[in-house]
Amino acid sequence: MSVLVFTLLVMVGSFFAGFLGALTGLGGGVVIVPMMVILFGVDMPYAIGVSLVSVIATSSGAAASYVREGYSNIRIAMFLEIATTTGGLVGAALVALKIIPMNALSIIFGIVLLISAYLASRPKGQQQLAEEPDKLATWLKLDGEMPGAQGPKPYHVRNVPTGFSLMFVAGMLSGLLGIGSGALKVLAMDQIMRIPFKVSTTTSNFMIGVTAAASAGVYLSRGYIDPGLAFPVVLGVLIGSMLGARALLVVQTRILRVVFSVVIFVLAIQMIWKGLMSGHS
Amino acid sequence: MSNPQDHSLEQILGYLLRGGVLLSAFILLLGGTIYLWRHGREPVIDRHLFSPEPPEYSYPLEILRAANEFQGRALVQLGLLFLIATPVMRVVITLIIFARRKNLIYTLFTLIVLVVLCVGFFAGIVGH
Repeated sequence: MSVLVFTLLVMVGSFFAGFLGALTGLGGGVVIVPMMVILFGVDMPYAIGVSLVSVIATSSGAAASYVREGYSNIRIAMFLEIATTTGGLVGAALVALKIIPMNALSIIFGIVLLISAYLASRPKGQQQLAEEPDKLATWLKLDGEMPGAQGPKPYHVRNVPTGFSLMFVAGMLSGLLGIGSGALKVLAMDQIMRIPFKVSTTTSNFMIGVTAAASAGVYLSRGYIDPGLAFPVVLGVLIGSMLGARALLVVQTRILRVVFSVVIFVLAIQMIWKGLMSGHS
Repeated sequence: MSNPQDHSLEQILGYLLRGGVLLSAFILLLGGTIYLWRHGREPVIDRHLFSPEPPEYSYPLEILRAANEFQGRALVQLGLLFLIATPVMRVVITLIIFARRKNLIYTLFTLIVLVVLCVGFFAGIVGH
């Protein structure tokens, strides 16, 4: 196969990954790594590096519109980013310093994939908003207001230390596996910290790019990002996710979600299988 | 919680993010096209076993030097550098927002994040 054909195939595959990722809200990152490893026979470190930069591309593009809508809370984002970026560094270090062998990484990836798919399939129920302010949250000035039908609606943030720790884990998974960890971030903010869903999702999108940038710097300078792979993946995912976001408004997503969930499930099992069978690290 | 000044800064933030991604995508496209033009007909590289990229595709200074000579893959890496820089720039602007609001604690938080980002980048280089 020639470089040209291979590159085009990767771009097409990445386009679909980005498209489906945007449609289902799962993100392209979780599909890129298994796609590269299983479909294109690329070794895992290459896949992680390339997936990570594609995550920066899609999240930065999406985050641009969220800033203007007034839902994302910059203070929460900045405070939690201390946890996510540090976690991202740790995750990248674990890979770059070869502390975690690749076959273990493959298994971890498969498990995280299964959990992400499960989280994404759950109904988006609104958690009870916290009635009373929390001392730590008030001291850190994390509480905020969001646009509401009858004017700004205030909300309170709770369980700050737990949320912070979960964010560290989310960042670490992001750096370790080359994903955005959006699902975990939203979970931590929405369910644990009682931040309203719309604020959680927009703020999470805001944070994903910065978290990925923390680990991407490590990966790039240590030679984990192959330019021949990076350019079709990033471009493919970018175009795919842009179109996917538009399609979201038009297409009936339910059937696609089911299809995507099945695909994710199969990929996850294959990743775990590969990790269990593989000899080298 | 934002006043008109900060609102316009946040608007700049939005344009910055989009612009950064677009610029990077353009450089990626340019570099990728050059790479395919020169190497498109060659048999695809075997990537079954990972080996780190050479310095001209990993060290920022080497990337710049090679990109200056319009080396396709170096240009791609340059595009990626811009891409990685985009959220970093976002943090810098947020730093300015908080500093202007004279919000000491959040200026500090943002500074910490910036330091972590820099540590990651430079540690990667030094550790080679």
